[in-house]
Amino acid sequence: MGKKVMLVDDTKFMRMMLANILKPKGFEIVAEASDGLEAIEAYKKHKPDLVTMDIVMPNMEGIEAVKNIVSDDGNANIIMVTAVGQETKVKEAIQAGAKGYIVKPFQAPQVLEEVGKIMG
Amino acid sequence: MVSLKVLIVDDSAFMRKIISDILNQDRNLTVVGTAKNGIDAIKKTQSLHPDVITMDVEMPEMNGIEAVTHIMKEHPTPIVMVSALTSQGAKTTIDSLHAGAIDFICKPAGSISLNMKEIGTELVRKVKTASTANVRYAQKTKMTMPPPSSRSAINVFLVDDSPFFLKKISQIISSQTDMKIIGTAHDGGEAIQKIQQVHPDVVLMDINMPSMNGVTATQQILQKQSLPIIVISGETNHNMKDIKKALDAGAIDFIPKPAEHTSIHTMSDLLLEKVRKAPKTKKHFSKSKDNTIPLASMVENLLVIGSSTGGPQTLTKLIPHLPRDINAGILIVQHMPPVFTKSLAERLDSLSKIEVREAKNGDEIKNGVGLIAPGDYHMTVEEKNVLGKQKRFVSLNKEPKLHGVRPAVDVTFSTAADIFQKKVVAVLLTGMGRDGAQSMGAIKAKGGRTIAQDEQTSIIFGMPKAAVELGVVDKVLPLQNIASQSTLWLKRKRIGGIAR
Repeated sequence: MGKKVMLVDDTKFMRMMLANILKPKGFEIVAEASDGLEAIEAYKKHKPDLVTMDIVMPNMEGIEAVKNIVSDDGNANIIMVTAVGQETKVKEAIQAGAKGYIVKPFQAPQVLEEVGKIMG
Repeated sequence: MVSLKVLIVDDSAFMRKIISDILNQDRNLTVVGTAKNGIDAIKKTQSLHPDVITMDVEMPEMNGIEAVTHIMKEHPTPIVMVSALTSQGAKTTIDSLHAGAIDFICKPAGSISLNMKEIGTELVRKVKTASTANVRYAQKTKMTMPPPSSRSAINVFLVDDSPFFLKKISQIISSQTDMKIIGTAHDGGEAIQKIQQVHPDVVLMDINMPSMNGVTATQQILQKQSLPIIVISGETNHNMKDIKKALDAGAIDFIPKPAEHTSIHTMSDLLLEKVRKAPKTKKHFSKSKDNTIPLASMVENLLVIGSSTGGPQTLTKLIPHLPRDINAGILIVQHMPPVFTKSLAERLDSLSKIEVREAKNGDEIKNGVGLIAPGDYHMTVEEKNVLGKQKRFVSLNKEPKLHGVRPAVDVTFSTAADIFQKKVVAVLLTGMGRDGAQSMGAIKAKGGRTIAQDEQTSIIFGMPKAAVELGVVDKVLPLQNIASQSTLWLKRKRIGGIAR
């Protein structure tokens, strides 16, 4: 069984880029969300094994969503997807319970390495 | 950070005040002076040495374009044009970019005092970006027309039984730098023979001629080869029938002959316009039934080009060097507002051997045709099956901005990789930010080839740098080598993918 992944990003483009990297490695994309609120709802519904989480999004930002998801599921595997220059926010997200991060723009090896570290 | 010195040029005291207030609010910017016309601007540039200038386009005494030209020659300084969002405003703005201005911002329509505040952030950002621009290169690229020697002239073959018309039309063609007469004939039979030897780009064909007339000649030529033929004829009732026959046979266009010999100059503009357009016309196949030329073979290869700040100036140095037989469809994404992309498309079309136009939703991607993403729309690459034939086309949408821009290069590049797979050559040109870098990776992952413009020739080495740093660029090239490298990759292998 492929691991279940949820992609959270306000742009379809970034979700597509991540899906293109993860799908060939056997991951199954079970949900996509375009803001923090949607992410929280979808997490409850699909219980994914892995979440990629954008930071800057409308309605609810990624860090708030991380806090919320982690308070519900202490074992949640969340990787932050961040732009250059958001280092302080990454730190905040890790403190909130995210387990790793990748920087946009990214290439497949970086993404898979970070995912590998978390999923074992 | 040391504060940047800004000079504001505008003939309206009101605008000068509003722009000053916006810029002075930023602690890294200081307005050191204002000027009310071009002459004043040149003087103040010399005395105040500003780091950046904001320049109105329309001003009395000396307008913005002249002032830009002068300043870039005498005292090169990054200039941001402040333009009106009208088609005239768009044309003049593109002219001033060619004169050496780095970037532009659109004056808001409607109540300026209210809406100017809305564009404040963008104005501050553009002024700061411009201050980092490669001014020396912007200045060097101000000549937009490639020298005549680098553009191959259109070879015209002229067929007419009247020595008078032969001479007059020859004179009109020969007076132009971008076209020349490579041969003439007095009747259809002679034309057919000579055309096989001289390979013209366009044929101008009289209808009424002795022995073999223009209709028969057109039919016979187009049965053998694909060639743009324009018929010339007087508009009598009898001739109209013949003109229709010639057009049915595959002639691409028709120019009426003036009745009076003396008024021939009235047809010269029309003639030149049609001759310039003719080589780009894709309709010049023979319509006869035993036609063996595949009429709608699907486009195999794709050239995608992305650019932002400094892009309009840079594209006019690149697109004219692409050959008509490039063997690829061409898609261009330039960060620009709506009216401006249309003006840019028209400008590029007039300078280039390939056809260039602003893309419409559903436009088919065709070999040798450049489509520019219209402002405020993302452009994606799609494929569908129409009556048993695969069609590749562009689709426009208003999905949310990506990296704060629409059109975004990443949207077009990534969907290009999905549809064309490895048969893509991607070029990322000058511009602030990192749009395009991520999807250059997608193109490379699928086996396509990627080019980034180098730092020396980039007005802003931002987007190409982001792609280079990501490690997804095959070649980093100066602007003057990009067209030839892309063409080489696209033409070397006509079947089975881009040459490795």
